[in-house]
Amino acid sequence: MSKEYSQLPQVAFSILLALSLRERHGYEIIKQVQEDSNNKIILGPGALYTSIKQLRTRGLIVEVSHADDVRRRYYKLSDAGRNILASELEYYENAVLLAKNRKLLHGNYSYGTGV
Amino acid sequence: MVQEYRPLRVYRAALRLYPKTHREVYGEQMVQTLEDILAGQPSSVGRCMVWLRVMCELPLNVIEENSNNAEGISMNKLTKITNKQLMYGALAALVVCGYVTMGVVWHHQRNQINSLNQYVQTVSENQTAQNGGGYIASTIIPSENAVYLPLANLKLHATTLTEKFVYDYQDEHTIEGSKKVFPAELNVSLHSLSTSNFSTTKQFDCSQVAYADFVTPSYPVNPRWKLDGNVKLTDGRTMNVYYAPHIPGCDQTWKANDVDSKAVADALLKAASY
Repeated sequence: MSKEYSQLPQVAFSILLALSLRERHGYEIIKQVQEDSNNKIILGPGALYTSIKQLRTRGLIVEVSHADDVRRRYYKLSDAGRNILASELEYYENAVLLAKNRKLLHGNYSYGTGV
Repeated sequence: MVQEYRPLRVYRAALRLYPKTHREVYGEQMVQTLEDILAGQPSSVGRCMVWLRVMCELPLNVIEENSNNAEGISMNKLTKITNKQLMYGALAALVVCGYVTMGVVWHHQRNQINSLNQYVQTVSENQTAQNGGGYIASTIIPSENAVYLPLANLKLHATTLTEKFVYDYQDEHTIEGSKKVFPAELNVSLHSLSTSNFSTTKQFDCSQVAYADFVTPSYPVNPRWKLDGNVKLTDGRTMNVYYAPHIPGCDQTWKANDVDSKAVADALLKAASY
């Protein structure tokens, strides 16, 4: 059975990736996404919670409470979220492999030149 | 109870723009996350950058959330804010802030004018009752070709200034019902009516006057007046001089013939104090 390919938006994918190691609260997610993207994705609270709401609606992440930190809400991947993340990564892995085989990476763009 | 950082209170208030359901579930978390982000910034420059980004993001995100609320949530909707969107958001925020600031300033100035008009009318009534009130009359000094205003401690050389103008000087004063202290001010009306005769804001706006006050920084009571310059008087005061430019649409009754308020203001700048 083939896995579902969901075409997650980039921010949603980045949040799932950030939650792959452990559960995190909002600020930790923002920091991890920023680090994972080499500072290319810097989320504000508005964009973060819009994505979190969408991910929760789809059941890809769930909220967990921490007794020692009642002010913050933590989020973790659900089983469905872990599956979606795995299928997304598989898709990207295939895409990267394909790009390597076609020598498309590192500026080695030979397509369309006729050579 | 610890008082919340004021900008965070503003941000919390701005969250009211979000749909109620979103605000109820995520509002507190958004504030908490922003507080964490700000706490994680080592410098004030970093915190400023965070605020700038948040203020750019907010209107776009509010629109998106309200749109989601109306249409139902779609995972395919754009959740990442692009640099172009950020730029438009920043421009929109700047325009809105500009309009709000201009509105506040204009409202403030309008209040001052209204207060002055109220005062003018009150003084006018008092003048009638007291036959002269607190306004001073000018004293002409023929030998020096000068107009002397004793209460203002000013001698105005009469190259352009003449006894035909109406010179009103008021010391520092307050208006009943207002805490604002108006500075000492001199009005030279270029028509036969003094400010005490004005009964409407339009008359006051249209009046042709040269105006001076003695405070730093100066702030004219009528925003239409233009600054002509300032002069340091020998007794240490600084006199800031304004003039009323011609305003299209104003009733010419409020302008004396062939008199240029700018020339009078220039003459005021040459005033010497006793």
